[in-house]
Amino acid sequence: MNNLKYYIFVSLFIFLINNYSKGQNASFINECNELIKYPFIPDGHDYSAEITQDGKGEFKTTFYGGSTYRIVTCSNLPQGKVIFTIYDNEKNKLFCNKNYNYSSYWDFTFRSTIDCIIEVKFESEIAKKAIIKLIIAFKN
Amino acid sequence: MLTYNNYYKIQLFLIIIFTLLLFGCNKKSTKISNNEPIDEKTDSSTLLVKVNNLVFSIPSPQQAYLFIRKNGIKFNKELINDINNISKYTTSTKKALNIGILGSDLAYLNVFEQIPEAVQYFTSIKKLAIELGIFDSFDQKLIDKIENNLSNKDTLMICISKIYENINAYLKNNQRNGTGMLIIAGGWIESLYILTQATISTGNYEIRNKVGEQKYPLDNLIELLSPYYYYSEDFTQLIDKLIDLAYDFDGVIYNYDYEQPVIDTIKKTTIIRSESKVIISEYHLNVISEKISQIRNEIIN
Repeated sequence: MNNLKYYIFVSLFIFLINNYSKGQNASFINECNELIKYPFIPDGHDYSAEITQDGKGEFKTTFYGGSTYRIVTCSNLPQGKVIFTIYDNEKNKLFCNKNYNYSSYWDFTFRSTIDCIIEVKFESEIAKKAIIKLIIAFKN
Repeated sequence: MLTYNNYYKIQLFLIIIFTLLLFGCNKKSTKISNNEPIDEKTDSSTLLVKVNNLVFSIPSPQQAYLFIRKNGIKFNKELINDINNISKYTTSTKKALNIGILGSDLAYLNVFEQIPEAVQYFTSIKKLAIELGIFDSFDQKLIDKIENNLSNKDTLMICISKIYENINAYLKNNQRNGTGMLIIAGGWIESLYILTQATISTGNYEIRNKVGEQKYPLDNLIELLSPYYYYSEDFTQLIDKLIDLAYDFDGVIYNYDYEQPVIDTIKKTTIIRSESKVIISEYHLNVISEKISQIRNEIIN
């Protein structure tokens, strides 16, 4: 009987741990979404990068001239500071949030249409695999 | 011989495995009504495809339509797909591509506040999504929000984006990234078609430049689709046609000059002052227009 209680306890424990991590994932995505409010409209893409140790994720996209964009980053590591850097196609650095207290969002007004690369990574090496989510929203 | 201790160890192991299976897999059941399911694995972290660790993406079609409206171009119903065509879409590939096309049309209708038509298009998209087995990705709260805000263009715009983001996330979780790629491709094809038609009918210089600027989104779209090149004949043909179109975009002249951005730390804004200039000849505009019309017609008919 004692053994049965032990097994039930182990199963419940696994269930709780599993759901706790799912809840955390949902919570960090919500935090990200909170920073996108009208007049910004999300572009409808799901940008996520799985980061390991000192790795980085890169997203290539086109920003239209005459539009303002909000870029938001968040991660499932509450303590992990996310660095996002934007480069043009010639690898000129256009912005890096590291210089601005690792701000999780920033607005960009593009005078011309430009193809850019957005690089995301953690400020310091991480112990395990983590996710960095990016949201790109626009306003005209 | 199974001892008492071993028996309980096996039981414990089975309970743990069962618990993990029960609660660890959060995938909703996916029903495919007919034809081939488009299911595959490319990347567990994002629907958008990684090539050399780079994830490619294209701008939202809504932006193109907002730009058209901003330039004083009038709404033209003739440009969008007829919803009566949806009964013709019998394969998964056609259904997915047309969800993209109709979604793009829905955005066009919404930008020009064509509300009654927008409702019909949304209903058609729902129908195709059910047939394709992706209706589970339509969040009921979001559907309610759409149905309660049909006269609010801005709320609808956000909801449409959210629905497509949910579809993408759902397809990613269900290892059906290829379907998501086709939806994205359909949306972009429709937006280029509408842009080219608006340019030819009005001669608007700004819209004409916007057509030329599609050179990079097209390259990114090809990169997105390329991992699926050998997945099926439909994918191969679609990618070949887009590559052929990209050769014509090579005739578009694109100049870029980097300039130091201006940063406002208080408002958290940056003005990207780098300048790009696009020159697209009449010849290339016509060729691109003809080719995109042909690609689109093969998808919608």
